[in-house]
Amino acid sequence: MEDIIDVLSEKITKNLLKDSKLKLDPSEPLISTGLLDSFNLVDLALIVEEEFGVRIEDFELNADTFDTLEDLAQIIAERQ
Amino acid sequence: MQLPDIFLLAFLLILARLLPNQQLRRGAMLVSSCVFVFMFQPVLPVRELDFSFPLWTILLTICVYGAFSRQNPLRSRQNLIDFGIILVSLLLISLTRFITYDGIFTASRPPQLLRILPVIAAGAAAAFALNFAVQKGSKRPAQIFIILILAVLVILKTPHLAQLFSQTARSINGQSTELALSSDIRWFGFSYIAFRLLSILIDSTKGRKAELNLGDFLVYVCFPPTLSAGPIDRWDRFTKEYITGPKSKITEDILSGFGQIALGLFHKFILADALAKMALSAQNAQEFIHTGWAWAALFAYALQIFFDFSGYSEIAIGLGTLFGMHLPKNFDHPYLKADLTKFWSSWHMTLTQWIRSYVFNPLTRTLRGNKEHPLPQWLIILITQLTTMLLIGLWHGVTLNFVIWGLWHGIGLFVHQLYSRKTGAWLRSMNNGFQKVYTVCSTLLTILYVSLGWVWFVVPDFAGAAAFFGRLF
Repeated sequence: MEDIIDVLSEKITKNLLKDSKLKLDPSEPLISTGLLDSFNLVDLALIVEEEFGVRIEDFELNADTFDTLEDLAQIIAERQ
Repeated sequence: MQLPDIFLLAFLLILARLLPNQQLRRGAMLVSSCVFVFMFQPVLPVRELDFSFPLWTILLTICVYGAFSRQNPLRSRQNLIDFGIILVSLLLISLTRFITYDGIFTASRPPQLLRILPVIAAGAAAAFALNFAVQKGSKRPAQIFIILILAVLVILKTPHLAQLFSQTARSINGQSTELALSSDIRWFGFSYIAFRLLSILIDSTKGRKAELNLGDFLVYVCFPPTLSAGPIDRWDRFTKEYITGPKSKITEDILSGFGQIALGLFHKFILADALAKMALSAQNAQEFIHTGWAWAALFAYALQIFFDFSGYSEIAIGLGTLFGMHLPKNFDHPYLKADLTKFWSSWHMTLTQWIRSYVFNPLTRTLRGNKEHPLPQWLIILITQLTTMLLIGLWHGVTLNFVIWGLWHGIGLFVHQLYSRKTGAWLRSMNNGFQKVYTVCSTLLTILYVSLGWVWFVVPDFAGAAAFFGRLF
């Protein structure tokens, strides 16, 4: 789980938000706070598919399905 | 929904909740859903149409069920029971024509039974035939119904086509075609029903299995509290909670439900109705001479539409809570959001979530996933935002001003998303004080942009909207 969170955190800060100084807390809300917008979310789904071979469906890209790195890592671990 | 409808629904939902088990509650809710589809339909000047539209809603739902369900309806006892309940409900509603000359559950007197029965039989036969094809693995029925529902939406939302439909229906009935108006064709709740039906059809064409009974599916599509104005819940979330039954205590739900209903009534019938007296409207748009009053009317409209619509949603959510259903939130303080992207994540949330799930996300995924000929990021954002907002505009009506309103927000979202990509890291590096001042300024700017956009939404013609902009500046 921690490995997944580390990879996700790095990809989100460097590739999506282009802010390598930013440190994300695993329990920090990403979607409901607006840190990730709808466009970032699709990119995140593509990253998850490429890195972990797990598909996050289009209807799952919202804060109800996952909002934090912990939530997303949990989904990835369950589906791997 | 008017006040008597709301109180009647609240009473019936509590009665249904008090039934001893979920099986009985599901039966009661299935009957209520069939009846309220007819009760909410307003009276229409085209003969029998105010009976046909609710009947078509139910038959369309049964056909869509046939077009996606992998369950063989003849082998499922529950499906046969559900179909029997629907059939008996429709027959009883039709038979009320012998009780009074006005409709009891219908907008006007129901037509003769001999005219209704062949329509029901044709609908049921079509559903069986479609399901026969689905059992053999065909996706064609689902695809056909996606196109059919979109075509009906286009007809209902395009004033010229709706008028043409009215003329045709009047000429079949032997009524005067000269009196045909687009407003004759008001199919109650169809905009919301269509999106619920489309979601399950699209999911089924993508291979998602939906193992639902006919009755539970019909209640999902026609759940009385959400018939008039949403929220547009997801079928999997709704049916999961509905089939399991309420887990919370009835006393807690009644207190919480009536609290939400009271708040919704206050927002809709007191605040929104009071604001309507001074708000910009299609009728008064040309009457403002003074710039100050024009701005006041515009901001009053921005608040009126919010309290009216969010009030409706609160009432629907409160009614759902009385029955033990926890419907999704539809508004989350949209005018207190610091940018347009956050505004659209908190305004009519279930509609925007639907459009994201079925239009924005698949389109963005396709455009981003094209590694051989990658498009620049800015172009993908432009295409996806304009498409999404244009569709939301057209959902309100196929008119030039709704198109402009959609593009207004699509361009706003495009500009904001490019801007936030350039400035996000810089803003996060600033101190708290600066961020607070920045947030207040950007919130005010967002309110201004959204409010100016409402001009296109409320004034029906281009010249009228342009003239009102002339008065504002």
